[in-house]
Amino acid sequence: MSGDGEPGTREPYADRWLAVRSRILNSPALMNPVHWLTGRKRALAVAQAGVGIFWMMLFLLAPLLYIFTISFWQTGAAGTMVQEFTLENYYSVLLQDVSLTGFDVGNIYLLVLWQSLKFGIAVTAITLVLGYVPGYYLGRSDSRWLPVLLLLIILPFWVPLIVRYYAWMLVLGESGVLSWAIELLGFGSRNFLYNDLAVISGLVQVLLPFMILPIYNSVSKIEDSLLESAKTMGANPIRTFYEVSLPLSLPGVVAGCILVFILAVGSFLAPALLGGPGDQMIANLIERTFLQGQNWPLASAMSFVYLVVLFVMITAFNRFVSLDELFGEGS
Amino acid sequence: MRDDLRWTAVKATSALVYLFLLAPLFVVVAISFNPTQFATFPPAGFSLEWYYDFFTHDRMLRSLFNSFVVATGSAIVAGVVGMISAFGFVRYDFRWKNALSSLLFLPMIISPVVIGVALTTFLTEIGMERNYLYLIAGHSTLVLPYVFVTVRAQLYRFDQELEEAARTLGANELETFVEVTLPLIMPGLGAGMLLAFVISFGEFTATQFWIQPQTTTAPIEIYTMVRTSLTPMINAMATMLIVVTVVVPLVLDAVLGKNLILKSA
Repeated sequence: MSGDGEPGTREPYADRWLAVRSRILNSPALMNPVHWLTGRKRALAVAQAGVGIFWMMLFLLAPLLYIFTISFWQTGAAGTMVQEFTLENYYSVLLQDVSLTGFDVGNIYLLVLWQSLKFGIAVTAITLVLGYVPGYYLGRSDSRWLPVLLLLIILPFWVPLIVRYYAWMLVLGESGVLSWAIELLGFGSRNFLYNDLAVISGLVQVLLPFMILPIYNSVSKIEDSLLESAKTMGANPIRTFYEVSLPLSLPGVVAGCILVFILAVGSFLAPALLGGPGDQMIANLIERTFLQGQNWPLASAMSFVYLVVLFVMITAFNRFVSLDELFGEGS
Repeated sequence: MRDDLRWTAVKATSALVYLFLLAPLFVVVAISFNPTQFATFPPAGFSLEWYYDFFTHDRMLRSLFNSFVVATGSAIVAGVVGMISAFGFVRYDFRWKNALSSLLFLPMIISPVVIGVALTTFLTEIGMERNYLYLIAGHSTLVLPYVFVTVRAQLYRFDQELEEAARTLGANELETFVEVTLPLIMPGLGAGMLLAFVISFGEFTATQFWIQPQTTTAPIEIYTMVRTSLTPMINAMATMLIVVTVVVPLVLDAVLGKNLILKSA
């Protein structure tokens, strides 16, 4: 295939390869089934869209239905399951209070769920504040570095979550970057890890691209002429922002908030690596019940209650934006 | 004049957010060359010791290999399944189309812990062995939405008259697909598959339910090391994962010249 100096040699090779492909693609063994399908528009549609639908039914819906069933089963000795109907799992998830050394701490599941939602709200709010300005900047900038600047937002999202949270540990940890910085300022070294602020800041750090990119998308669609005409009509820049840019960027803001909220609430790694024992979130509770506790029916009930809460919230959000729009364009 | 000032403030704030977003990754890379036993900042010198440890550590290399196999398999499976179903959803009308397309987005919304728990329980029930295929089935499910979205976006922009032209010129349906359609949707498919590879490669939360000692992936090994022994080898391995998920796609992108990465956004 060395085409240097003798460009003519490439042509016969390409021709022969085309001939081979053409013979394969015209072979009756391949074309007969294709003709059978193309003759039936409906069958073709079902066959194509059906592949993905079937995959999701087999590997997602069926498993979800199965754990829904299991959540009504009893737990036997040593992590076994007894196939007899019980509401006990849901009782202990939703109603049973736990007391530790005499103190009534309340219902663990609901406490942890509430904590996850609180973390989710805090993370979403902070991410919005931090992410709006760069999102706006990218959307309005005419810099020739724009592709590179966008790439720098996308690339961290590619790095494995475990590496990004570990990196954040190196920043907050005892001999980490932050500790080094405050030592330079004359304070003693400190460990910033294993508390709720570490979890929240870690989640913000990791989820920022999910806020910045949808906002960038919305802002970049705002026509320059709209801003120009607001200016011509005498609006000052601040008024132009509040009355033109901000409302038009709202779809991106809503999309970003939903994405960040969903991902933050369901986070496993942030509380596992950055949080203390009191900062565990719903994903950690489910994992512990399933892997350490080997209580599959209880873990299933926990998963289901969480799914229901999540879907109620998404449906509520969904009145503002459709999911399809959100994922089709937003991410 | 004051407009300029305001724009400068926007730029400066953006720069700070970029710093916040990117600096920790550079910290990992910098510390991975630190010769001391404990990860300290700033690094106390330069050493390749921990890289040597990493590249002579069978279990770590094995986990990296496992991640490669699973991510490649998942990118291919999700690529094929996602592409075929994107065709179905873009080119035909059928009942409940919107609801059914939401089904394909579901793995993006449901927490990976729940997917992990559900699929493990289900596959244990049907008696599937915990091998590569087990992991590829799980990961393909997790990454399918990304391929579906990128191919679908490409197909919406597709000019179907090109296919008609090929048919008029005598190509059969398959030839039209292989010689005309496929090359034209390749950027979308490539971007989706690249994204699928990267996400599968780094997936931890659901994967922890699906592995067995022989199929342990790289993110799981890092997690175990972070939780149990804080050996500096973690930094070397974390840097290797950054290289695989960032540098390799960037090089691919530059070589193929298709802007795949920007398309994946």
